[in-house]
Amino acid sequence: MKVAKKVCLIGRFAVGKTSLVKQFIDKQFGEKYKTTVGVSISTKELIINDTELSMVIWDIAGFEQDGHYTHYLRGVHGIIWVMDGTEPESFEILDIITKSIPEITQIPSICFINKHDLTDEWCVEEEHLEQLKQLNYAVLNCSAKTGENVEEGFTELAELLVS
Amino acid sequence: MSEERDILKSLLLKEELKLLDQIKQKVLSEEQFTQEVSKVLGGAIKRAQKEDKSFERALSTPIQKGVTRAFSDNKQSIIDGLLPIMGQLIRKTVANSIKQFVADINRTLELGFSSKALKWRWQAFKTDQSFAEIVFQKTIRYQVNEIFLINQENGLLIEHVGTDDMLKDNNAISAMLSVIREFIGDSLQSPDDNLQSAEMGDNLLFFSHGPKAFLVFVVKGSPTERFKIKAQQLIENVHAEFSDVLINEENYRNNTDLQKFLRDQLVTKSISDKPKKINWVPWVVGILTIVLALSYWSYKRNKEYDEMVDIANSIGGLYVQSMVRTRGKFKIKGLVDPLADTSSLQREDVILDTRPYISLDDTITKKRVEMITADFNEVNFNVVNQELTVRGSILPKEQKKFIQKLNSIVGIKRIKNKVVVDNSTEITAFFESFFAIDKPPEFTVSHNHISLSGTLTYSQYQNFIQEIKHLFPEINVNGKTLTISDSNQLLINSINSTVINIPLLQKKAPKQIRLLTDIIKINQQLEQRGVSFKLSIIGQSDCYGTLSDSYSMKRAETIMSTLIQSSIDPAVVSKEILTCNTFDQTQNDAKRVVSFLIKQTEKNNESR
Ligand SMILES: Nc1nc2c(ncn2[C@@H]2O[C@H](COP(=O)(O)OP(=O)(O)OP(=O)(O)O)[C@@H](O)[C@H]2O)c(=O)[nH]1
Ligand SMILES: [Mg+2]
Repeated sequence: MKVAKKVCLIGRFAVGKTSLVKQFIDKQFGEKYKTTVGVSISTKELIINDTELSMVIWDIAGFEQDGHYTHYLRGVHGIIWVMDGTEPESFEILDIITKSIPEITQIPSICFINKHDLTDEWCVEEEHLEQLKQLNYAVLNCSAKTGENVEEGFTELAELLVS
Repeated sequence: MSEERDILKSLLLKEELKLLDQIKQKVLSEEQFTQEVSKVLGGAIKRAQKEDKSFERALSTPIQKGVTRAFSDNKQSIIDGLLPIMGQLIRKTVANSIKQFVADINRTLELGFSSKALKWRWQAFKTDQSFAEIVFQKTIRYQVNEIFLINQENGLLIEHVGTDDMLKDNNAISAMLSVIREFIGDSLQSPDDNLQSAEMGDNLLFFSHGPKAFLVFVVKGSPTERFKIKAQQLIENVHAEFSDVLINEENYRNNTDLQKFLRDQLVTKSISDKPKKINWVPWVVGILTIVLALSYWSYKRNKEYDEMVDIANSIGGLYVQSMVRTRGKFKIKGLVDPLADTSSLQREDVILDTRPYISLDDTITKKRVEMITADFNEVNFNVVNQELTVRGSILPKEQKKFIQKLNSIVGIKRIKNKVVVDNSTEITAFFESFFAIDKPPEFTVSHNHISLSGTLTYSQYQNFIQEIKHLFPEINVNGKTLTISDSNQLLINSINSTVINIPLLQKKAPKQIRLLTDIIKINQQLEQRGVSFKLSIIGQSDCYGTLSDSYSMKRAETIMSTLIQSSIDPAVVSKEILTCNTFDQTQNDAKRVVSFLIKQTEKNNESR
């Protein structure tokens, strides 16, 4: 069977959304930060248990202040939450968005805690993990730089999407 | 006879009669029958529809009749039900047919009765098509090279047909097209027009919208009006005929009927004689351009929104409850203090929907303070964290009103009042009336402070101090540059320089009496001024004689007792002599004299 699914990355600016997509699709990483404007779209073909899945990945610019992301999220099948393990504030996005769009918690999701390679700066607080656990999302420490857990995370979501 | 016949009947047809009876029972029990039929009716219809091609046809007449009947019996409720969609439908149909009509007429007139036209008329006649249809086919000046059918909501590709199968990653293109559609929809704001277009390199993108999905036509050349009408009809047809595909994502890109349907809509007839293959480079460049434009647009839009948030937040006294952007306008809902300066929001693209409230914001409180205390020119304010600090000066008569006003201001928790009462006018007036004398001292006045210069007597000065302190208890008088014409020291000096000549001990001359009276008076003055002092009375004589020094003492005693009799405190006075050998003859002609020496015993405050 062949299916296409829309997946959105949600996370504060500079947490590494674009970097994760680049790592997942091209196996590349760049140190330079170029902020995404609007949305950037790419696709990845995967085969999950006999299903040919075409993942249409919407890398939305870091959500900061306003509600303009909502129209990008329309009809989304899967969400990838991205937090920055070196930036405790980046976890706040979860609370902000689930409050403004409560039904988002029903959508298959995984959560990346990115930049795990920066061990010296890693500062993930227990309360944040607690909050994520309540939502039953798979939470993966990952690194867009080293590739740690990146493929695993995307694949995990892909499995949720075809199941 | 009939009895026998019955017996015979029952003998011959016993079983059959029984059966007949049962059947009769069953048929008669209509109720039971209906019940049983109703159980299978649904399944039976489904099956019939699937297996028996004639079933639908057979049904169509009674249904048609039923519907007609329902209309005539129940007109009003059906009209009510249809009304909301009818209006739209009629308007749309009329508009479309007018457009189509005009387009056809134009094209037909253009052709007139040329030989080409006659040929086409013949063709129309032969193929049983309308002449307009033939004209349309023959005059196409464009190509529709790609058609994308895209999920309206999430941008997933439902189907794609196109001349260029080399086109890779249709899914990504589809998502981008959906973003582009959103962009065009947002920026053009034409809800009545379901067809929108965007230029992309050499091609045009036409979007036609339906409730579940939209179509994107990639067109080369300049499409006719008729194409546009058709494009709109197409999306309606897709919704009507392929709704099962549209609603189930598993059917996406997987339906040959839909594919064929769309493929039929491609217009691949070459524009010129030399067919040209579409070059995808400009296509991709075009998409990139649009994505960039879109990115810029979305960036700008976000920025505008942020800027508006900043503007609104920077207005003290405006409490924003919500801010939404619709049709290019920001609608700001909230509470606003009447004193808030909302002039920065008096713009065409801002709709303010506010209700009044009292803001406790410092900037607004400050305005309130300024307004309420506008009468007090010499006062300035600051409000920080609801604490009001007031500085400056006010007139005494305003003081009460001022305090009342300060206390009446909303939004202030604490007041630091550092205002001084400016009573300089009153002080000046008092001063001028007090010294209504020839040569009044000069003075300068500021808040509760007065400096004097010039000359006054001790008592004038004392009276002045007393009066002014009575009237202005807070006042601070500076008399450092003031000369007191009869200061203590001057009095003391005058006593100390008095020398009374006493040649005889008993008899007193008028001059002696006058000098003594002066001394007594000065003594009294000093006493009154609270100056503590000791007065030494010094008797003196020369050494011409044997009793010089004892006479000196006697002289001192005489004067002392006179002074004591004149109510000088005995404890203050003492007598002594200057022995004759110290007598300085050159200093004084008189040889038998008494002199005085006052010594202040304690430092006194009013030592002038
Ligand atoms: N060390 C390290 N740096 C990372 C990692 N992921 C991203 N970065 C860096 O973080 C910066 C931001 O990365 P982006 O991927 O552009 O972030 P983004 O979330 O797409 O940001 P916006 O598009 O602005 O929302 C870049 O300088 C990246 O090089 C990581 O795993 N490790
Ligand atoms: Mg990015």
